[in-house]
Amino acid sequence: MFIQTFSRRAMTEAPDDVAALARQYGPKVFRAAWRILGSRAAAEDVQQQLFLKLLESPPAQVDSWPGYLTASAVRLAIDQLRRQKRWRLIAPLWRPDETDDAPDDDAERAEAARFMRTALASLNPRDAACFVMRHLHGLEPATIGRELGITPNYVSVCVHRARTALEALQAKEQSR
Amino acid sequence: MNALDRILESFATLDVPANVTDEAQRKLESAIARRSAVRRSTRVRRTGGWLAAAVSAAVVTIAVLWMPLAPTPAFAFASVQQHFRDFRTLRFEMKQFVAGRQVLDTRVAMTREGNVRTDIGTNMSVVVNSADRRVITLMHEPRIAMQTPLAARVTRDDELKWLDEVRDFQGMATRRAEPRIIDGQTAYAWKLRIEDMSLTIWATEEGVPLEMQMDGAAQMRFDFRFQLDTPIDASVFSTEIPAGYTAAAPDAEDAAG
Repeated sequence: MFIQTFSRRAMTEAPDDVAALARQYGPKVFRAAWRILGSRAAAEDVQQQLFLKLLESPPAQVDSWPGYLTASAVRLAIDQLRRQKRWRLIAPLWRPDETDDAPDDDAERAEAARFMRTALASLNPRDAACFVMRHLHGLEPATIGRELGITPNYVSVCVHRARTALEALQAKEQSR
Repeated sequence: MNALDRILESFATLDVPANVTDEAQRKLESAIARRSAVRRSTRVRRTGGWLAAAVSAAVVTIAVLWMPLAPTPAFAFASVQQHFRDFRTLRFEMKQFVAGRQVLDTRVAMTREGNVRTDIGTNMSVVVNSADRRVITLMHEPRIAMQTPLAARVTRDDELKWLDEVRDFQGMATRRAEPRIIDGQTAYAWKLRIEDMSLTIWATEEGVPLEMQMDGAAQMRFDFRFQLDTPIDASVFSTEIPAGYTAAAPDAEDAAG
């Protein structure tokens, strides 16, 4: 089992540890980012950004690497989703939509993905991250809170707020 | 189960094909290996001390003796990389083309101290001022300005990723024999490949980069023109709200940094 914690100094001296982390958790990080972004290129960016940042400025202490990496991937992917939304508003030609869901995805799943990606981009990013970590990755509020630097109670508030907002957006879509 | 739960259930079952994950993983491991190699070589350079200095002196001596006999300019791609690492100021204009049609023109000015100004077309400018620890986003058409505090040191955005890729490039760069004249200076082309991008960098005999062309997938092309170490007025990096612009509240997460 790979070490669960290691210090900044240890990681700085031994970048090979990041390579081991990448081998173990790289696919998980990629899938987490891809589900939110729907684009392999954007998910690759998130995956590489996350691990190269670990190499350059490792965190002082990590209690659980799967939790830390999932939380970081979700946050980066949501940031990217929001950036894409802004770019589309400002310069539609600069970053065209590039979702590449598998062609055999049925219409219902494709529609669910479209709705979730659009809706997540419009939520408060912290609420969106809490919601995704809780409902898509099954992380406990205590784990989410530790990774985001907030209390478990506040995580529950964020999740509830995100859910209410998503339900409102969904109802609005249905009424069209 | 309400409508949102059904959507969530559907969304949660989406999965990326295994070959796509494998390909991403391969690129990730290769990127980590490259970056680790650069870090190791940087550490060696930093700690080499007098030995490195002595070796450098010997190499310079040999180069000086050899140079008059060399039929072509005796500079290496490492010299181009060095200029990209050591600049005090860098300005560049980047034109993006899709299928031969120009879609965007971006101008960037940056300093070693971490100030960066990006002008995207005529619509928008983003200025990061590290000394003021502030970012201002200007939307020119509606004349809206949004100031946000800079909580952490600037990290490179996607538009500058190529710079790290070129600086850290460890592979084979081949030089074309035929020079061309750019702004009155003789420039030589270096060709290199970084993942799925093909790069041609035109640099002077001293290794000063002048132009670069990046060709990628989906008929995408980027043309760059560089100016290194030219003076840049401090006002370029001002994060004060310009006259005639209305201040807008930043997004919650921007304000939080």
